Amino acid sequence: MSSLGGVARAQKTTENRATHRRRIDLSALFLLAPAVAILLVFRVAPMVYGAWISLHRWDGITDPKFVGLRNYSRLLADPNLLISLRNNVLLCAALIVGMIVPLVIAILLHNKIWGWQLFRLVFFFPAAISPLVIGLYWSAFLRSDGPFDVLLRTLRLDWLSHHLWLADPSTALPWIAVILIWSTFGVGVILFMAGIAGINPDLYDAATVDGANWFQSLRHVTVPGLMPIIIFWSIQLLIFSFTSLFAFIYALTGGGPGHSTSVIEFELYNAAFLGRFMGYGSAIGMFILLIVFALVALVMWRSGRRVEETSY
Amino acid sequence: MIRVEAVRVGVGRGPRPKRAGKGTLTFALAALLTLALAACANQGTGGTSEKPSGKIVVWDFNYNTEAGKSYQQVDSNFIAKFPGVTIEHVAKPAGEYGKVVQAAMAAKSGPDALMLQTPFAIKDYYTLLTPLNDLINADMKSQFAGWGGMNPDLDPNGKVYGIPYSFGGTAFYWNKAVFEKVGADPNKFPTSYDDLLALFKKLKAAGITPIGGGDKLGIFSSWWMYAAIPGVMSLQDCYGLSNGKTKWSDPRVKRTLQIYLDWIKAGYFAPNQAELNAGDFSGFTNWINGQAGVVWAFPGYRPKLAQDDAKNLGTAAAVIGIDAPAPHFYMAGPTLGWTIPTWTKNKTTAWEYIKYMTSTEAQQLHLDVDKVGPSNIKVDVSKADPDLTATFNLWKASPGNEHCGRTFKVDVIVELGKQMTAVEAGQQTLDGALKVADDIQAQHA
Amino acid sequence: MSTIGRSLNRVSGAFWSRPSWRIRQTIRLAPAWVLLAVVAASTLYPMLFILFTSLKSVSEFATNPLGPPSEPTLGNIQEVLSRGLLGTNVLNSLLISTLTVVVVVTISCLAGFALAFLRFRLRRTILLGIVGLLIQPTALLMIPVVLIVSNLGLISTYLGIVLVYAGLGIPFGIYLMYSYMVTVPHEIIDAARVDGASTFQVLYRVAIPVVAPALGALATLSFIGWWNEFLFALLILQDGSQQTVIVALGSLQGEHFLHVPLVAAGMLFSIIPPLTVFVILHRRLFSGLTAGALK
Repeated sequence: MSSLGGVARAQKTTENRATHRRRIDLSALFLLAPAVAILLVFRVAPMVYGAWISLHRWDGITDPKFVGLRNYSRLLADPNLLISLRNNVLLCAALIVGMIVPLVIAILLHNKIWGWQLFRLVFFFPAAISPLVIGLYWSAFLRSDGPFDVLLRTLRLDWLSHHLWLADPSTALPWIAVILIWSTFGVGVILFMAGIAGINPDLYDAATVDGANWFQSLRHVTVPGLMPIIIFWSIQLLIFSFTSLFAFIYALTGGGPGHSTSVIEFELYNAAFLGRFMGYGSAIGMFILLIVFALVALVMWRSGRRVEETSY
Repeated sequence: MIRVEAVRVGVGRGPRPKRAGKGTLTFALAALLTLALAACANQGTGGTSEKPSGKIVVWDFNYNTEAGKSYQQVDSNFIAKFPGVTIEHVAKPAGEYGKVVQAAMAAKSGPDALMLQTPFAIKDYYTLLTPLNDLINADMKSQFAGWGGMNPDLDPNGKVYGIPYSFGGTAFYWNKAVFEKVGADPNKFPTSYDDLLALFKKLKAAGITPIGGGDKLGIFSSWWMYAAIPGVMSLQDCYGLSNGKTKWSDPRVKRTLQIYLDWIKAGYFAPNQAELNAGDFSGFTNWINGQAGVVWAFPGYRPKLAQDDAKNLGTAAAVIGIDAPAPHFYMAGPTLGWTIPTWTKNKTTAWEYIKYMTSTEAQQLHLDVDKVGPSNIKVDVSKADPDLTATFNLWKASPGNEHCGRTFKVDVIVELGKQMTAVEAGQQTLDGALKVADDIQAQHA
Repeated sequence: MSTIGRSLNRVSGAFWSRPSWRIRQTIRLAPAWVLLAVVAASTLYPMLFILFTSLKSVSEFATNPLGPPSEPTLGNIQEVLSRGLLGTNVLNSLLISTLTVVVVVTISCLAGFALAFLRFRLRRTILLGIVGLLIQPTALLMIPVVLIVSNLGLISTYLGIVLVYAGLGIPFGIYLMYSYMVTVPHEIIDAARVDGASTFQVLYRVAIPVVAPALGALATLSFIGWWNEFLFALLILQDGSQQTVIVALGSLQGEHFLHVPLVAAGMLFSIIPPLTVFVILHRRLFSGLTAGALK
């Protein structure tokens, strides 16, 4: 009896496992179906279509003409495109180095100085405004006869005044870097404040006991403690600088003198919508995808974290 | 119970776990309801299919702007003529109009009556536009002088795909008081290059910036080309720039831009012109303040420039003879066209609409209210601002004259402008800039 | 800087809950406080600039672009109102943003939960795919998406734009939700399972309450983000009555002539709603972002 019962029980267990597995799969299916459906239709399909079109010459209305890899060779031979790519890389580097700003501010605010909640709120404002508005404002602010100029003259920095900041190729891109840092630091402040709050305070006391000064405790306690957030935010800034700068550049300088402040996304828009080279534009898009993918993979590999673990 | 304990311990600082039952059910229902509402909401918009009562959808980029104030009147006049018709007039952003049209063309869905920037858009999209030859009678043919621009090859006797609309050209505006101050005739404007140079030298010597205006993105340099190209080549050669027959690196083109660069070096422009927009008023600030003598802009800018000082404002058609005392032609013509895309389901109403939109009556309104010049030669321009009258009459006198600058490929002229800013900043040579333009033009071949 | 360092060395809870310490701290950090105040001024001034500009006439803006208006006029604001900016356009933006938020938050939550807790077959693949989509540049998508939307007959429909926005926002939403869900201690899930809860019950009663702050954060960020979206709204919502505020803003400028004060007046309407939402919900947003960092 017991052996029969045993077999029966064993059978029941196996059945349960398989049914359980199926039930899990079905639940997962149900939970994921809307997401997967929408993403397949509106994200994956267009990308596949874009990849296909990048091998053609197409103006959007007549039939596409297959041209193989010609768009890609045109892409690599276009000096303006490479200048724009360089700008992307420079702005990305600036944004990542510029993480110092939210870091310092987070440390300051962490001490809960008077009005810290208000500061935290106000610093986030630029992130809530449309880039078009930000662009219009800053291009007016930095005019050679604008408020910034008035400010410089009030501070007796006359030698700097009447400078064409956004129209001079040597200063335009640096200013755009500043404006981008200004637009995004608020979010960084929040993230870093959260991270600092999570650092074990005993570590600081231990560091003091060991005779560390402020810089050393910063370097050996704060920064390592914030490392996951720093990596996370770096990746976000990297993606941002390669995929979301269009509106800013468009509103600020339109690409600047020549292409000195253009970014690769801007080149895509111009090729596709001014020149109506849909195939070439798609090739640029594929190119951006490749670059971002390579860079993100590089960062993740260096930081030694696998995809699923990079949560904060 | 163990479960409750575990949850409390685990959550700790977080919010208390809610009674999930009612809350989440409501939430799910709300989500479903809003989705259903969204699905239902789209029923009422109608899109582009016509109703039996005769609805048409109209797209242009003037409707919500100063250049389209008369449109509401035009639309109500039309409805009064044809009761039972409804018009959905949609204002599109001028700066994005190319994208919007392109997306509509790619999706083969959009309005019943579509305003296009011409002649270049006709060449781009004529395969999806209805040819209008059968609908245009001889009377109408003679009323407009811009039919060439409605044909992809600029042939006025070929298939036309739209009705010409709206007149554009370039005009010079000057500050009469400033002219008097430096001893120039306040009522005349130079028509030859040498006279123009002499004028600028006079202004400069008197401490006045000769030319006001902004050159952000090199747009101002393009506007100068519109005034100067007629001084160095024929109309046919100018058309050649749109299809590669005339190279951008042609020495004649180079000459016009070299003049511009020389003027920058000579200090004839405002020192901060590179950061000012050509098209928004900040480009003319120094002119308004009496600190600059001359600007070039478009006919119809007069009311904006003459805000407080109409009597002091001199205007003339922007034509300059460079290789000869007089220019070869005047760069002007209809800049827009009303078309009927092939996907329309209400061709009859759409045709009546664009016929009315371009009629003498409607364009008279457009002129009187919006200060925009007509393409219809029957319109009375005598009472319009002098710059409009002058340029329009010039154009009327030279039949077959399309606005050559509007035939240029958009990306080529935009890129040339950008390259010019690089040249002005010392990062590019003029030859290099023109070569870039040629390279892009070649991609279109 | 040593003052900051000293305070860093004293980062521990008990100390700065005492008011006297806080005041002393503030005084010591005074130069830093001034710096912060300057930065705060720089983030606040744009609002002021837009307000000033919207109250100027075109000619005044040409001669006095950057100071307060000497002859303020309500003409621009009236003009913008008469063009329906406050009425239809704001309602459109509100409707679309809210619908998108609901859709994105719901779908992200369900998907994030499934990816975090259910060991199903394609889990790794889908997760990798989601992260891959995070880095996809949306510029590439424009024309294909418009083509797909129009082939589905969803051009000029609210459903169409919401689906497009959902497609754009879901990867980040899932990623965010997944990141939070994995921090839910396994004991809770297992305890609920032991008590016989079905998958969905685990979701409703256990997971969601724990990640509620993250849901709030996602909702706020999504609302602000989609309110400000321009390109797809322009291309997909083709009817005039469907235009969002940002798109209507774009149509205020003519082909050659840019009426800056009028555009500034329009901008007032486009920045006030998201800023208001942000100010009202900012604590929730911040605590949501914060909670995730504290493992």
